[in-house]
Amino acid sequence: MKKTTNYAIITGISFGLGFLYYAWHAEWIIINIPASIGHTKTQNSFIKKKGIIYRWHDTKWLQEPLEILWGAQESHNAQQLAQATLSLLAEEHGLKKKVAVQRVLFSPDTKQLLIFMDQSPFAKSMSIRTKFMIIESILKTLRENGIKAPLVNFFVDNQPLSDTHLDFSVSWPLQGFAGK
Amino acid sequence: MSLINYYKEPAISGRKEGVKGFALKPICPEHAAPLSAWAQASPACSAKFFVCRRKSYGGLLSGRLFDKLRVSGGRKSVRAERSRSLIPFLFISLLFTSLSAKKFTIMISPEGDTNNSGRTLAEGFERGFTRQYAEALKELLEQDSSIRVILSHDSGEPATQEYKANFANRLEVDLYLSLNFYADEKPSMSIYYYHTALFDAPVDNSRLTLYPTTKAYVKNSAQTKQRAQHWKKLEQYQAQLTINYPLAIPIKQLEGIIAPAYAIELSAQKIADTHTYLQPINTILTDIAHEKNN
Repeated sequence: MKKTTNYAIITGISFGLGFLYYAWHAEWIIINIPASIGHTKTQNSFIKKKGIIYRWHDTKWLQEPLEILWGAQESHNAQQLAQATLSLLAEEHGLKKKVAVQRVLFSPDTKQLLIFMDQSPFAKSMSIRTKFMIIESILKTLRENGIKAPLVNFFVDNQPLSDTHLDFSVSWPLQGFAGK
Repeated sequence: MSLINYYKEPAISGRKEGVKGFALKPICPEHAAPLSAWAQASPACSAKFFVCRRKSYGGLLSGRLFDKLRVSGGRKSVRAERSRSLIPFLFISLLFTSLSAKKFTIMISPEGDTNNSGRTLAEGFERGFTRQYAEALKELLEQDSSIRVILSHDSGEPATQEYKANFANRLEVDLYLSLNFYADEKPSMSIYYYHTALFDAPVDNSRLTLYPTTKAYVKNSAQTKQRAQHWKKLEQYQAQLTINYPLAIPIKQLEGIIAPAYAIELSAQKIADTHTYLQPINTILTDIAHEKNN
């Protein structure tokens, strides 16, 4: 009797283990290892940081403090800063379009920062000076917040930004031209 | 030529026809010295070409010009002969004349063409404003006889930047000016010249070097920068208009131009508004032209 009970228990345990193994194999059960969850958290960790957005008004630079999520990836931070500058200009500087910065990349040698937008931030009626100061505002915001890339290129639809007056087929220096 | 004065030489006679009577000896109006070349004896002759020791004068050329009057010894006789030896002298004189009379050439590019009407203003398109302003400025500038103005293209003509740059570079203009207008009620003027970020390559004239069109400006970049200082004289007009002093940026309107080149952007609503800018720009361009000619 006792022997029969033992066999039944062993059979039950084997069946249970077999069922669990099958469930894991068929992905009915997904096992998350705690160590890997911890790693993912570290990768995506952001801290809130106070940044300063610069915009040109008449004859002087105006500063707007802004809280941004600062990450370990500099390209992500540059994207946040460029987007914040364009949004601020859209609200306060009369830009009629809401321009989205789709992504920002560094060139492999990290000397060039490539900014990809969904559309041109310029209206047809804008003066050369207004267009120039929009670009200068983005460049100043980037450099004053610690982005380090000597040259910046602007793209729309994966092509250099096209404008009647300003030439974006060439790189613009992060230092800008206004200081010269 | 009408400025040249004459004084009479003592009566002389020549063996050839048409040289009897007296000779006219021209005097340089500036230096009050006799001019080195002699005129033919007939005062009615329109052929005049005299060379002062200090300055040359150009005039009409005719076959009679080649008649050389030669005083032989003290006999007060003149022998006129067609002299070949005078020809090189005349060519040299012509060369000096052409060099001294070279005008300062400004090419004005009124932005907009048949394919591009430009920005919209209250009384029409940018294309019309730039054209009318360019023609008025040309008229005003050419009142100074030392300045010649060429427009980059006609009103009914398509003109790409490549075409305009080729035209300006072939003519070897002394200055290139791109005119732009945008709509604004407040009168303002912004001046730009070309500059890009990547390099300001030193121009080595001792060997051939290939440059992309975006780098054509490097050949005269120092001169462009130096002449840009003239625009700062516009401060005398600051009460009338807002002035944004020269900025060096990569601007498409000046791409490929070798000569010192500036782009000017002016604000206006109506055609009448453009008159505000005629005198200030005329003053600066005339200053630049005179500095070059001196």
